[in-house]
Amino acid sequence: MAFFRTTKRDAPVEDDVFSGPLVSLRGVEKAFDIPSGKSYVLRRVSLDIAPGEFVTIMGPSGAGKSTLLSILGMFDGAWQGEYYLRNVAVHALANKDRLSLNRKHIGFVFQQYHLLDDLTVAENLDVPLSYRDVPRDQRAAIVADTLDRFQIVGKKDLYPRQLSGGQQQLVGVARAVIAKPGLLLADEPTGNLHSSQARDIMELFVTLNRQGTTIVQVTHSEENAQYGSRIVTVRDGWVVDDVRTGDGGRGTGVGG
Amino acid sequence: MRVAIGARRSQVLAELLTETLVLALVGGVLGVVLAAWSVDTVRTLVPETGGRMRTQMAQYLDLSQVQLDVRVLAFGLALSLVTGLLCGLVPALRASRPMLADALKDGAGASSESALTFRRGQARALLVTGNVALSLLLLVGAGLLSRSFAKARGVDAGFDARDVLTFRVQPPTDSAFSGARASLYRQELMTRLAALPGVNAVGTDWCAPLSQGCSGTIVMRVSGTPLPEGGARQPIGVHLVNSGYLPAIGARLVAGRFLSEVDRAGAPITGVINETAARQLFPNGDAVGQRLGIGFSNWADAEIVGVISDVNYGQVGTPPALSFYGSYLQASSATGMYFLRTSSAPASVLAVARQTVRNLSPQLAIYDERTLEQRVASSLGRLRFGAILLGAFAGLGLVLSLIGIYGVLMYTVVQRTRELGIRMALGAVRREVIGLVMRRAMLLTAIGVTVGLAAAWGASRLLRGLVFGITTTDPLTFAIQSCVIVVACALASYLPARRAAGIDPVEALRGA
Ligand SMILES: Nc1ncnc2c1ncn2[C@@H]1O[C@H](COP(=O)(O)OP(=O)(O)OP(=O)(O)O)[C@@H](O)[C@H]1O
Ligand SMILES: [Mg+2]
Repeated sequence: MAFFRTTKRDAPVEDDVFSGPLVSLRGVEKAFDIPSGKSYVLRRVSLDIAPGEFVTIMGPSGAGKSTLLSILGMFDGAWQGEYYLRNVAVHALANKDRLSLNRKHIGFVFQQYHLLDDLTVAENLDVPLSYRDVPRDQRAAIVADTLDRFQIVGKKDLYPRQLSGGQQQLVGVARAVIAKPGLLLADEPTGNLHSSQARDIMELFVTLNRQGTTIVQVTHSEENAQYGSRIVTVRDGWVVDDVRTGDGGRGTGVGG
Repeated sequence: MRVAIGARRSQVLAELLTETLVLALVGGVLGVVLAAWSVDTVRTLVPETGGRMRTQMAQYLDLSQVQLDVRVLAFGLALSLVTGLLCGLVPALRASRPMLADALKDGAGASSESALTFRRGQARALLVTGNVALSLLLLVGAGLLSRSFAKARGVDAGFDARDVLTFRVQPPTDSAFSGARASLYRQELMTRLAALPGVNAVGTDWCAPLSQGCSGTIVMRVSGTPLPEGGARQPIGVHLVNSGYLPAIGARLVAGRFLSEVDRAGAPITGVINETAARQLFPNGDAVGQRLGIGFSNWADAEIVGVISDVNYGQVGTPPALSFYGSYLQASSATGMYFLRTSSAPASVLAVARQTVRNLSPQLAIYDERTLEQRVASSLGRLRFGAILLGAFAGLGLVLSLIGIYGVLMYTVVQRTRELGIRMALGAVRREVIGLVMRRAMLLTAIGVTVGLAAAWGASRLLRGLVFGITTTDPLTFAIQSCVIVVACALASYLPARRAAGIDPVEALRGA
């Protein structure tokens, strides 16, 4: 692949060992209050994701895929059920502690890239580091290293609006993994990209996955789904299918 | 966005304009109300000054005539409308100019929008910074004056103003009260006043301490030797008083004796001087027993019988001047002011004092009745007036600054909801979000404070005539008022910061 070089440093750094699933959801429900009562967006979702998996979540628009990803990413606090991340009971944590857990283990890629417009590429990459206890001098080194890995050194002083969509998403992925999270969440990362740009991003995901990053992506594209090892289908808030691809096995999840 | 859903340009323009015009009008009306209120207040604050001062002041500025002028008000309202129109027109034109291609282009939309808001935000930021600077300038001014006021009040003016009633008595001009008989009726009046219960001492002089309204002459001879003309002849204040005067105002005896009943017409001409006069005119030792001649014919060669504390008859804080006290019985002197030292509250003696004057002769007019403390206070009136006026403006400026900071930050937080949401999604915790927002506020404040300090440094010189006991660049005042501004701005920015911390990243990112 054109813009990604592999180095030894790429593997995610997880300080402790644990056994069992990386992510475990048990009966997760999410509802919005509407005038006529409650509107359910997620219904009794139970799902296990093992370390090293590359999971694709699919389903029609409005099925609740983004909602599920927000819950996994811990931006969303208002839901019921149980969520264990590396055996830590997220549902029992205060919002503050969830955030620190998020910082430690999770990277997020957005469909709309969500780069900060007033910051250069390099500064955008520095943002997640600035919210983690990384010493200032090391931050510059990590940013330089990441720019190099993603082969965007030449773009480091450009602003997001000066980049193409594919380049912006490349920065988006770089920013998501710069703090070496064990779990990479991506909500339609290629939704705004041409198919060739999409392929590049998917190959990048495969490489990251091979190096040990667990990936959960949401996509509408069958083609993108083929890069992963497992497809979870959501419809009207219910998990309705869970299949392994590649090695072909039927789902390992606890679905429904 | 409204342009996108088909609103015509003129509609958008009209809507934005109406908003600013309404705001301007509300501001204008508030201004009028404030003006009406402040005119009343200013009138009550005008320092009370003695007759001479008042007429002098009236030549420049007659504050008692301060009133709302319809023309001024109309001008003010018109000005606020024009300002509103201009302020509204510029952003309205800018916003209504179709930049749809840009604004809707995916991804780029946010950046072109933020470029626009940045410019608009900068104007607001400039306004807030200016406001903070101005508030600090006023706060420093108010602080300098109130510290001066406090210092001036605490300063020793050589007398004791507590429990002294003062008033003036005016005899009819023709009549039985002029000439030699003038001192007779005054003697009789003071005898009767001294007999009143609760009155410990009765004094008379033609002016009050700190009144800046006393007479003076020059020193003609010292120890019998005439001084050469020119610089050697120093000015000296002259007070023709009775024996009760110095005890009545609470002057302290330093050497010799006060004037007494023996210093009367026909007796040797005597005088009492203040410490400063003693030190300057008789540098080699004891002034008591020495001779001093001043430019008042009766005291061309008087014997000094006492030295007293430096009673200040000038403006608060001015260095002590030379003073000479002679017995009014040894001259035919002008009408005067009376000082009654009382053993209880001076006001309680006022009624009987009036009665006493009227009983002596219904033709005698008693007027200008005030306690000595009131006279001291009104001599501090200019300081108090300045401190209160500047303080009021400073308070108003501070409130405007706080509203400004609050408004700018609220606006920024709303504008930057998406950015804040992203930052939270990338791991920013509450503390960091609050820090981000408050940092901006504190930056604006810091710039404002820097500018304000520089301005105050330059402008405080204008207060030189009023500032007393401290320098016009008093570091303590500058520091305290800066802290006041900084703390107040921090408080004002905390609410928007808290709101920012409460942003729901899911909502923020969905909305983008
Ligand atoms: N604040 C809200 N109030 C009410 N309903 C909401 C709210 N936010 C989301 N929903 C609803 O939740 C449902 C799931 O939304 P979600 O964004 O998860 O769907 P999705 O599967 O990601 O769809 P898409 O493929 O279009 O992105 C939708 O029906 C949506 O209307
Ligand atoms: Mg979605």
